[in-house]
Amino acid sequence: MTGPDQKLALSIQSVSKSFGGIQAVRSVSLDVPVGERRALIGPNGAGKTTLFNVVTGELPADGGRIQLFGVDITHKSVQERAKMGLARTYQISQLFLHLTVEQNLFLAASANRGMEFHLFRPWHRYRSERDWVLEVAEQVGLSDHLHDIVSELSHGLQRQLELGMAVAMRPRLLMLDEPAAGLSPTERVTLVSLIKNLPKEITLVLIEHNMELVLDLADRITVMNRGSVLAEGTPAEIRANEEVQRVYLGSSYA
Amino acid sequence: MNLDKLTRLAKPILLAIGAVLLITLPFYGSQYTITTFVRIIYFGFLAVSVGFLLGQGGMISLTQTAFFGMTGYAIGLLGYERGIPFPWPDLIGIGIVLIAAALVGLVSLRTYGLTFLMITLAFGQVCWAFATQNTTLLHGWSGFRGIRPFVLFGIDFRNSANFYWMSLALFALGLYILWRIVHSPFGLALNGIRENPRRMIALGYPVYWIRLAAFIIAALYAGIGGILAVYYSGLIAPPTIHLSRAIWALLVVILGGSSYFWGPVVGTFVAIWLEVLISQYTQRYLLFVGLIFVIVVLFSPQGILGIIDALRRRYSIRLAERFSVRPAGAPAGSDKKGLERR
Repeated sequence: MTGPDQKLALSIQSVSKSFGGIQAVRSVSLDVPVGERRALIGPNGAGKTTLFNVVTGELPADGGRIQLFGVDITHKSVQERAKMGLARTYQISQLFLHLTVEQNLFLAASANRGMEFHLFRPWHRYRSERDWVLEVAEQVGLSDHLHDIVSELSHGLQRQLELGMAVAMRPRLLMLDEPAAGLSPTERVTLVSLIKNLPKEITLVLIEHNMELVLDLADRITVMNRGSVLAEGTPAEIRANEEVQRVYLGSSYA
Repeated sequence: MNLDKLTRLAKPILLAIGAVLLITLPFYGSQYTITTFVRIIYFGFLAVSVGFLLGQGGMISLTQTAFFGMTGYAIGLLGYERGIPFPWPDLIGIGIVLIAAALVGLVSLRTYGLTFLMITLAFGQVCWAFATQNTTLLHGWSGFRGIRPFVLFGIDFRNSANFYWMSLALFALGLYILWRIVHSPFGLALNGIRENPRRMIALGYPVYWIRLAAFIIAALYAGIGGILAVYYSGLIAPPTIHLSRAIWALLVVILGGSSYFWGPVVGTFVAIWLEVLISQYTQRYLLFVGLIFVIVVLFSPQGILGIIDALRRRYSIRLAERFSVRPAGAPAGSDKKGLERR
């Protein structure tokens, strides 16, 4: 087995996960170098989101090893993984609906900083967290909506906030689960440009069904089908792969 | 005169007038009015306890009256009957409340929503049943009667004006501290848990311990209310901790507006004054109090403060249209904040 390798942000070695009799993820191996933007594609039920949940620790792996920046995290908790710089977004936005955008970002920014038992000082007087919140709001295009209640935002803005929440956690590896789910074409363009403009030192892994978006964003693509990795390569290689075309891509991308 | 400036000035002026009226109450109010206000304060502590858990943490607890009664029983048993001097029975009572809250919390806070409610209901009922059936220590149904307040630094708190001022000061201090807690990172984290506990866990927050801390803080407020209640009424007996009182506290919080910081206080104030006023005319006053409650909640799920908030917003928008300025206190664009909500 390889020792700690700082060149890999994420290294998954023959990870499996099944629910009852259904093998959702079958012995998947995957290496993502630091700074890469990797897309994970595949038909519905291919095991992409399950793999995400195993990597973030929300589901325990049945077998295999997961390394984050060279450190074995297979048996670490969600919180420990978050502290090591792993953040994710959800396919269905997981926001604090009756709080403001600023409060949402502040909660993400101040997580794991030992502030949750500070009882007396108003939260908005924590300068460094607040400055960071403003910076993140700028990065995800929410500067004009800081004081809006989240439930009153449009779906597109909520998806931007979902991204902002993950960015606010200062991640080194950011995992996006269908960031553009349910967005209109215009909203999607905004979101893609926001993701593109994220700092280059953040490694990205994203699940996405929209091929234009994937081909636009990803350095490399991993294709999954029925719980296994079907193919991996640059966008051009994936586009040329006949097997991938058969299971997943429409002929228009050939 | 600038409209913005006028509305901004109105709030502190109204607050100052209210404060002066409250402080000088014993000089112009009848004995009965003073008694009513002391009741509002000690039941206010209970309502604030329930309201903090419900409004800030999304936890519906039916066990707060048990904490309210615990300090009372400690004072009845240790102070009144065994003659242990003030403040030891009171402090021991608070200690018992904190320990009991920690234990109940450790068990019940593994759950959310309805399950949590059922566990707190069970604990409240256990305390009530124990108080009714234990005749050797707690004297069963008769409880303790004739408990008198203390004399401290030469101030006789058996004088109702003195007792009122002490209660008022304690309530003001308690509300100020709770206000700070609600607006601290801890309070915000608690709001996050109310909104989406799963995401809070994923963000790395110790959700269980934050809820436990909130539960203990709430129990402390109920316990302090219980101290004031037992001294002023002179009585602690099982009806004080009966389930109907726990439900009353919950209704009062909803009547005032559970999502507003001041909701429990407003709710207690209105509910108790309604009881006082209507009971002058009919013995069936509870029927009318209940009707008014139903009507308010039917038209405004956010309670009385919800109504005021909506009226205020409509009024300030109309004013703004007439004078073509922004609504009072609104940030550029919109007035989504309204009253100090949550």
